[in-house]
Amino acid sequence: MTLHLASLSKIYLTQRAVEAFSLTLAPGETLCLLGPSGCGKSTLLNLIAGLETPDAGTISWEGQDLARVPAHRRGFSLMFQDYALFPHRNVFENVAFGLQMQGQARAEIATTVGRVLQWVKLMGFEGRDVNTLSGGEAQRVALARALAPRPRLLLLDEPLGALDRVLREELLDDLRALLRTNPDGARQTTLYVTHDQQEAFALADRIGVMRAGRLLQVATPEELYAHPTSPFVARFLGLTNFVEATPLSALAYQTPFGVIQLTASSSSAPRSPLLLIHPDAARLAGQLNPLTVRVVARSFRGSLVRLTVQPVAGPELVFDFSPQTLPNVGEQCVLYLDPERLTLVENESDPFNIANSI
Amino acid sequence: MDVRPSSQPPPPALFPKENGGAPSPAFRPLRVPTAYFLLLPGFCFLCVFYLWPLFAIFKASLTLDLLALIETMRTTSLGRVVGFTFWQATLSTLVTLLIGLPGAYVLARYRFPGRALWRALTGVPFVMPTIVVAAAFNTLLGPRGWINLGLMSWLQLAEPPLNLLNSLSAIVGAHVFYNLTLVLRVVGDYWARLDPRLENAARTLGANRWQAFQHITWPLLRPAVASAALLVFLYDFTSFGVILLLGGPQFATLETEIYRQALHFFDLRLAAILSLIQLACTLLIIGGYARLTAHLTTPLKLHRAPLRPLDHWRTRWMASLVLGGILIICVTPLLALAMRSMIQIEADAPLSITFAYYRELFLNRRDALFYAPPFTAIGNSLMVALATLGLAFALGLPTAWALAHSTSSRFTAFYETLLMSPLGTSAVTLGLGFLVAFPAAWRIAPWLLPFLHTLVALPVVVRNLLPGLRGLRPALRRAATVLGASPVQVFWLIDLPLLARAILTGGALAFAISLGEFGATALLARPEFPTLPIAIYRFLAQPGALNYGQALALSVILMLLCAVGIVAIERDSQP
Repeated sequence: MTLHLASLSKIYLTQRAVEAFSLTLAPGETLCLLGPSGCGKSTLLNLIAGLETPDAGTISWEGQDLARVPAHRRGFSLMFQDYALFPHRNVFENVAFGLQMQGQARAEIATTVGRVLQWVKLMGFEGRDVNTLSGGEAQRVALARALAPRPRLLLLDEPLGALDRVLREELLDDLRALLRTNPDGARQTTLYVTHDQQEAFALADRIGVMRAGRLLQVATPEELYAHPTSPFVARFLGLTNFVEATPLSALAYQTPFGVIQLTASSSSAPRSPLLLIHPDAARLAGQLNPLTVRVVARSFRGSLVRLTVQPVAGPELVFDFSPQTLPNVGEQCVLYLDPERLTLVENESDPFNIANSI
Repeated sequence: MDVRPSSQPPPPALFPKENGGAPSPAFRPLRVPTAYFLLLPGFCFLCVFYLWPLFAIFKASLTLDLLALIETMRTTSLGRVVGFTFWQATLSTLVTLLIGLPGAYVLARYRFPGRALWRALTGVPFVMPTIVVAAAFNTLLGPRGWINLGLMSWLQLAEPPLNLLNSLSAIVGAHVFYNLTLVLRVVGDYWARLDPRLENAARTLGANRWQAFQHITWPLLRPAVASAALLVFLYDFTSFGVILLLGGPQFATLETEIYRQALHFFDLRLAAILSLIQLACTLLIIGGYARLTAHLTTPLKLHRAPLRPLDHWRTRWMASLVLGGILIICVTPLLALAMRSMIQIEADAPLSITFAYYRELFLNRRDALFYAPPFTAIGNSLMVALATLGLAFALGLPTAWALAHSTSSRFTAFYETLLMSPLGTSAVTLGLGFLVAFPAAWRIAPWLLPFLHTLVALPVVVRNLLPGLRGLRPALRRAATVLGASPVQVFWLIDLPLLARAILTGGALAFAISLGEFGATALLARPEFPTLPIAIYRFLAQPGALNYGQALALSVILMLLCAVGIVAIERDSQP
């Protein structure tokens, strides 16, 4: 274990920015913290970096408490949302900064900077004014600067947030590859903060979903998507089909539109369960869980078609289908829900309130 | 990217500063003849009242033959005068920076109760007329000032024990008091917009606090500090009232020497030579300043960071010390002045509160300094100030309008430089120019004063109007027009309200400038038409408690008149 956070809390005036936050990072792991803006993600990074002091709880590295270790001795690098490149230093001087602070010799610094710039594919950029870099170049300089001093932990604060969508997709793959093999060829231990679930899914070994300073769930991307433990997490991942469910037996639940059968893997029997229906759960043919619906809306999304349907009773549901012959708007049809794509979620509070608060 | 704040804080509006670049492309440029037509009145004014007097000074200096010049230089010890001018300005600037920089830091980074009020209070000295500052320091340090009064009553002395006036420390003290806010605002505002994440990035890269400051913050801050320092230096270098009144006869700077040569020895030619030297020096300083402000526009990603609370006892102590110290420096002299103007001292009697000095202003005594009751000086000053205000806006509005609407060319660049130059020209030089250029100047002085004051007020008015005019979005006017507003209604309902702040700020500053103008006025003023600062100066120079008291009473009135304008400006300026 490397980084360990134990019941960390930080209060600003009256607002709890981070509350009872506990987390452990494995060596070489990339962990993404996912949450809406204002959920305390940046505060958490500042706490870990040592730029702010927690009001309660401990931060430790390999068992050593970091409370008395100032930011510049922690050996963590923090990469900021809009990079915070030093505007009065050129690319080389920016990347060299951390090495200079370590008191390395000139020749050694030059070698390292060269190697790191090569790693981010910016050879020949040494003398460039950082104010003239494009968004993608600036991002890679910032990454090079953060990794040149070989930090024990890399903290990334929305590193793609300032870029437009196309560039973002492109850099996402680069970033993923770079974090898997850092300049030393090893996997970089990384804590990554973002509000974008695509980013988190693409980069993370594990994802932690945050809300109002609290950690709700930590899991691998696959596990998180298949079995979110709360409606908030599900909605944040774009899963919106919820219905109330009352247990009839271990694997059968009563819902507004009839009895629904589950498989063993999808039910951990929460106290007041909500049934989450994944958007890919619906089949046009099958036997289990038939559901008579009327198509309310239909929209074409390229590789899939999204239908909004109204069951005989209960809320509207949204399903994605691969493009095929599908019923038109206004038509009735029968859909079959795949029990593998159904899961039970603990209904912590009114789901519509949660929906509003996302 | 435009890195300037959208609204200039008031005192910087006074400085010569590079403007915010070309007009927005959305503007339809004025047709050339219209632009020239609108620029013409201002241009004629500057030619007659600025360029021509400067030319006259130049001509006058040429008539002096070389041998006589060398002789007078030896007798007036010109080298020492120039040397002292530089020395006192350097020393004053250093002390101002030393005290101002910690204040700028606290102002830029921390949130504290009463922050806006503190900022406003520290801005007050800068807009005070020099004569008020001189009088205020007199009430602190002078033989009849609080320090000596306190010591006399404490030690039972008959004579004031300390001679604090007529010293370099009095000069430096007054200069610091005067210019502290320049450092606080120029550096503080820049510092506030310097992204604190740069420093944080340095810290996570292994730099300790000092290294982060040394390698990141300081290099980025340096141009702002340098430009603040140069501005302070310029003001200290051309300082007149403070040197004349607090330095006394043994401390001569170029500025006071021009005045002495012109008014006491009637040697206009030598005064002209000194003026040219003064002009050369100030041009050099302004050139350096322009170069630096150009540097300030390097594409820094400026970012207004949230202010931090003072949440640690150590930062709390540091901040209280810095903020309190600066507040004391900025407030004490003015408070001392206000209180001293209401205190009567009689031999062997306790201090008593009195309004006698104020009452005396309305009496017309036979043996008085002036031929009329002193309060007429208030009327004179207000009349001149109103005339200046009218003239400055009559010339400034069309000028600013034309400059804002025309595409920048070599001519507009030259015009703007010409327009701003009087700000960088020393006051005494401006006054001397009038004396030399207009033979009848002495006789028609009351009529010339508004023109003299407008020289300084006009650039300030234009400078305040320009950003507002350039910022007027044509889309708003079009929207109003489409909604049925006539051009007149558009002007009244859209343009004017949007410009109201700029007009108010420019007007208040122009008014305050005219009320407090001393250096240039001193050369033209006549005994039967004293303005407030001239009357205060005359009273201060006379012996006797009553004269001293009247000087203080008039100073307080002048202070309050200026303060009204400042409050109007500060009310909704950015914190």
